[in-house]
Amino acid sequence: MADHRSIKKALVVASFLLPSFVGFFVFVLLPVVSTIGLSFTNYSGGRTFRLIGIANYLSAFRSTAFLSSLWITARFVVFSVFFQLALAFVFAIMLNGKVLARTFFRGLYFLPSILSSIAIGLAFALVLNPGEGPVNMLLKSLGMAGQPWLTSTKTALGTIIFVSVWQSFGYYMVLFLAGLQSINPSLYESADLDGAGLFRKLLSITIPMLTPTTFFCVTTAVIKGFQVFDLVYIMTGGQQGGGPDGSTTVLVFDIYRNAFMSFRMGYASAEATVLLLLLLVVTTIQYRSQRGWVSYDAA
Amino acid sequence: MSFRFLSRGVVLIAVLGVLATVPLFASGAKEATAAAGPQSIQFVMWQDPTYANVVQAYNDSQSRVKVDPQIVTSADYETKLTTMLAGGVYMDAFMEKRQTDMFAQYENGYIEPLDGLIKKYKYDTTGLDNYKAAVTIDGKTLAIPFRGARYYIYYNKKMFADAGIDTPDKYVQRGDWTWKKFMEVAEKISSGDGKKYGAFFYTWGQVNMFPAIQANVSFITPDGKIDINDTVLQSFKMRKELEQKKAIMPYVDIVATKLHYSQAFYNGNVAMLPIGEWFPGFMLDGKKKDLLKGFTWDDWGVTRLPDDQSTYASVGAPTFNNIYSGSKFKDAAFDFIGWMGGAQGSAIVAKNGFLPGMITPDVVSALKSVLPDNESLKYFTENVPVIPPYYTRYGSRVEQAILSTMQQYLLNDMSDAEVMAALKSKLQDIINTTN
Repeated sequence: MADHRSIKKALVVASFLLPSFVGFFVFVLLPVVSTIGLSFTNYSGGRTFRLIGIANYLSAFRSTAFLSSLWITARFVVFSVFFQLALAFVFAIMLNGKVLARTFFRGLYFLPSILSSIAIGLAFALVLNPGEGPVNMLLKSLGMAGQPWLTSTKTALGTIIFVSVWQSFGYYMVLFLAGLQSINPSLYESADLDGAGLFRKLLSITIPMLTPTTFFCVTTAVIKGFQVFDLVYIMTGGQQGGGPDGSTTVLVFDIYRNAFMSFRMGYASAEATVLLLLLLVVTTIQYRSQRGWVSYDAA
Repeated sequence: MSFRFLSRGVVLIAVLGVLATVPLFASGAKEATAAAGPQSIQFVMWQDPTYANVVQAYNDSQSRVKVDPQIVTSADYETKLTTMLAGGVYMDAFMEKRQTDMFAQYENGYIEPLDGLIKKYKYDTTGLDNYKAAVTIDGKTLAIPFRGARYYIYYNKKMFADAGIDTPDKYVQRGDWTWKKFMEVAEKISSGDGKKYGAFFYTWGQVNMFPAIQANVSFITPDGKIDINDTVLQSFKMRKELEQKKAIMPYVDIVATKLHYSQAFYNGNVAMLPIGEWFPGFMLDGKKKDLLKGFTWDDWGVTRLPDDQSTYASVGAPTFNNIYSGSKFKDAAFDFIGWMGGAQGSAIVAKNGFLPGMITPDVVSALKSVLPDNESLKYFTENVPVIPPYYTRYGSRVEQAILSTMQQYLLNDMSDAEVMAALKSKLQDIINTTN
């Protein structure tokens, strides 16, 4: 009887787990394992491929294109994550107070994060058109020179980082707002009684109490940053993008180009595996280091 | 009670399991639908009204085979086709958009050699013979071209008249239509402030390498050796010099703004456009949609590309159809692609403003209505040698190497030796890492 009950319980549990497990197995685990496997082959999209050991990895680390894409991705991650979170924090603090039409502004800043990156990329490409884009037209009407936003090696990556920050900071702002609202008001009341100023309260209460939210935001923003592709693809010229002169060729764009334009799918799989390992290392470091700075004390 | 609950649990698991696995077999179910009557075949093609017309005309012309077109958006075609082939999606035949992709597809076993079918059906190879080299690998015929290959100079007569300069066909007649002359003319006709351009070089590698390709530079030979010379440098320099003089639009601006060459020509501020044999179709479309700005249908013409070699040769690879090696209906697929590349298909292709693989009197007559004058028709249909650009298994990557080196050169101060060394290093990397 007891056995029957435990089998029944196990089946009920399994029935709930099965759909998501099948999804995870088919759409996550299987592709990840296949990608790692293919990275050791010369697979070019067909039936005739063979094992070539670590040749793809050696090629990648000897390739200036791959190393350059890693460096560009790292710059993208550092700057985009920093500005996204800094802006999100500042706006969350501002919109957590009693300001006019704060619900409207919360919605307004959050809006870009639910829009498609494709639509955003297309809109900004149009707005920043070097010849007849509204931004350059405005600059010219003010007697200033138009800027080569997406057509200069000096400004293209910065422009894409700007658009990425514009698109995403509202999402993190909402997370910070939730974090701010979960801080126990009695902490601020005690600080007031002790005569603490705004800056002291920010340093000693708000920031420490927001560290779990900050940790979550940093982790997800870093992962998203490493995966950037759509904005680069749309804003720099589609398949021929990543420029000018490779200045916006991030790692995922290089993977795409090798896989689908050069049919080097084995090599692209090796690049994707390096990206996976990189993300695992970065996330592990973040996770381990959180013990030193994240406070889970009850608010 | 507990037994009933157990049954529900098992049934639930079974149903969810089946639901979760249904999509995995969905494509397999489609394969099994071979209908009676006309043999239905799946044909993968990119979105283009002309090709839809050709398929329709074939379906209307006979009752043996019915072509079911699988339409893929043009911009993503190469990527999607690769994914479909790698994913085992069933098809009987497909169009090839980036011709050099055929090498990888053949090596991967996706393409059916056609020699047996050509022999079996005693296929008229007139059209095929014109482009035999471009559809043959290892001595095997792998495709039937349905669209010819040739680049021309399309020019805006009105801009030449306004500038008081001879149109390019006059230089062709005088025998001094060289790239140097082209640059001279482009510079003269441009306004120098980006409002009027002497020419428009699109963003494809071959378009920027005409002098080199006409000199038979293959970049990487079929047996894996670097093959470049000074004509490559000349090609790079031509673009840079014309950009600096604002005689052409900068490469980076075209890429970033995704300005299509047809739009640039329609705008009426580009005097010369070196582009392929399909462009009259775009002009027809532009006329129909009233897109031509500041000039009319009678104000454009077609002539030869400039050339520095002693014998004129154009550049281009034909567009063709392949039969999928896994097709269950190869005979039916051959019936269709053979028709499309034959006399009947060619006449329909020509009516839509494209140069077909086969030029017959019917084709010439059809082309008359899609070109502005007889002089243009003469150059459009003349029989000249055509050189396919970097037509080897390395071709798809050579294109990227050319474009990335060109961007480096355009945006930085590089000496002649540095630019050639940069290209050489990229080509060597391709040779070393092509499996």
